[in-house]
Amino acid sequence: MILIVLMIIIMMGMGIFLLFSSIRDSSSSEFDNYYTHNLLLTVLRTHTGYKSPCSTVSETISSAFLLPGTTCQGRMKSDILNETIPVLMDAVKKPNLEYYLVIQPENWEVAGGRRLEFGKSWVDNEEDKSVANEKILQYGSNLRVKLVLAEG
Amino acid sequence: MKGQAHILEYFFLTFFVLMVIVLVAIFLTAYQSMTSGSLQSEYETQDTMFMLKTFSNYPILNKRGYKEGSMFEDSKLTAATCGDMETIFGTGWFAEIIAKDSMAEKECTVNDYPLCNKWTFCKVSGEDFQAFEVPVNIYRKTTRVVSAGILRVGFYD
Amino acid sequence: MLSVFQLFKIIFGIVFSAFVLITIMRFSFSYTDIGESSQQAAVLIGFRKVINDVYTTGIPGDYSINNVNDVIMRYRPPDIISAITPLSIEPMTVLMVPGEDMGVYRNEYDLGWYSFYYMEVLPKMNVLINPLNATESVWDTAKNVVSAFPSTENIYTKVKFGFGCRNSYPFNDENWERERFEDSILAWAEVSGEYNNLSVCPLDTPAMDYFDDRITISPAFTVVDGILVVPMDGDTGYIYPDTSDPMLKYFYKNPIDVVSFFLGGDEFYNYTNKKFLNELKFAATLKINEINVLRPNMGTDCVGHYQELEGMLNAIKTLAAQDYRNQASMLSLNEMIKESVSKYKEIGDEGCD
Repeated sequence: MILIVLMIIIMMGMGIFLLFSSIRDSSSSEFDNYYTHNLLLTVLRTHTGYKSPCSTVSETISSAFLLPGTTCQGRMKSDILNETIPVLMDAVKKPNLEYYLVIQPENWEVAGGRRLEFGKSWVDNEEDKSVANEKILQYGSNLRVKLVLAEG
Repeated sequence: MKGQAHILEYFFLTFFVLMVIVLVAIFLTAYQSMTSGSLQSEYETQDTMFMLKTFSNYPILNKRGYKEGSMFEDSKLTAATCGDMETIFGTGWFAEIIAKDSMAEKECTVNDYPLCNKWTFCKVSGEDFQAFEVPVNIYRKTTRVVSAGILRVGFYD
Repeated sequence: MLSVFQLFKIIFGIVFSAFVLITIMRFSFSYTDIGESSQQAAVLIGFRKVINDVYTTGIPGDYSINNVNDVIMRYRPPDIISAITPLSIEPMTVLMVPGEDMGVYRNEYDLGWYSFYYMEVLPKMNVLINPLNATESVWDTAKNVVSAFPSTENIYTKVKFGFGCRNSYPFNDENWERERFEDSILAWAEVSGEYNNLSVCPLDTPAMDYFDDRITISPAFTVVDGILVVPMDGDTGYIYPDTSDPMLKYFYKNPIDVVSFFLGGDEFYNYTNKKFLNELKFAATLKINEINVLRPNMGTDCVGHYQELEGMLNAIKTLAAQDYRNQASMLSLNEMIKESVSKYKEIGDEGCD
């Protein structure tokens, strides 16, 4: 009787172990991080259709922070970004992903200042998300750009 | 009777001990098989990831000066053929690059260049494959404009 | 006095216990073997991933393998020969010397219109460069050969250099890694003129214990230990792997050939040559196709330049298909490569790129 019980316990234990010991696919998080970083670089390097100092997205961002309230070819720089970034994101990212893009000066947590946000802020609170960071170097204060992606 | 009962006890004991040993052996073998399967899967995923990263960074197809990410040059993509790429990367894979600009999707040939935005290498229809897709930039050589696009690389099963 | 039943119990118990023990032992041996193989496979897959990542990003790294001889039996390019199965690292060009701690580095041979990437996966190494009766081509060769080694300033596994010898003593320093050694030490040694008459370094002295191996560079053949390089100019010349046999020599057309030979003998030399020339042909073909694609959209000022470049690339394609051991063909190839690099630069300067 004891042996029967022991055997049942052993079988159940093995079954549970096999069920829960599914090895987490670490390569999927590697791909997610690679994807997110590539997406950020792609968006930053793309041309906006405007001339310098708004020719690329990163240039427009830098210029918008350095000289806020100014324009490129009659268009407010912040408007150019508001128009370009969502269109670019929707064009190249996978449809099932939601994004949250934040641009702020490097010491924003201490000194405060301007901050630009695009996409949906709830993405940053997701547990299963991937994050990419880049810097835009500029005179005065470097800008930190953070892109967060999660499944919508 | 008592003697027979004793002997039966031993047989039952033997049976149960053997069952426990067999079950543990099956379990360990299944676990090992699962681990090997996972390693195999990781190896295949790594192959596809490597192909994706190598293709997206390959110096012959990219504009110089961009260490991370990729900056494909449209003229180089148009000039390359599947046969050329297979001499470097081998066979059993395909790649697609699509520039997401205002143009409708149009496959690039020497005659259509530069009014085209899609480049396909070694794609065979009707075959099963595992593919990954990443955003990339494409540098338009004639207009000196950088577009955004996607690169899709896959291996056939 | 034992009853029959008691005797049965004893005999049955012994037989059954022996059976169980033998079964468990046999199973555990095979399970251990499988487990070890799985572990080795995981180590190799991880190793290949690191090499892949360094190749695609250009950011050097380190990788450690405990009991490396149990995992990697040898490297026979392009396969890592392991106890389990050969692992191919195609399409990368990899020069590897297995060790417990290895630095993984991507080096580049830049031709302007094309860059040849090759990986160097090496353990800690101290290399002695021994220039004899140094002429300009000897110093140029020394600097070029050093540049074909990895730059390990940003990784833990170091490749360091020294040069020598004067009065049987070499010159070396813990800080002489590639960048410093090539740009400062060798450059200064050449300019100062004080090191043009160095002598052959001795083999087994305490001062020489620092070095793992040496490359002697001399304007004329001379009997030395280790490999001898006799340059014709800064880029080309002959490698003598064993100066006791002066007839055994290998022509080199760039410093990668010298470093390949140094690291892996004629096996690595043949491998690197085949890879480089194959990729060069491919790159030249692609560039010619690109010029044809761009021609209808070229400015009239640029058409002539590209036409000249196209002619050079066609010549490179033909010469790259020749035997890499043929001095005349490879000298012509080098000449044509130099002209194409110069023409490509001119195209860029003219704004035609």
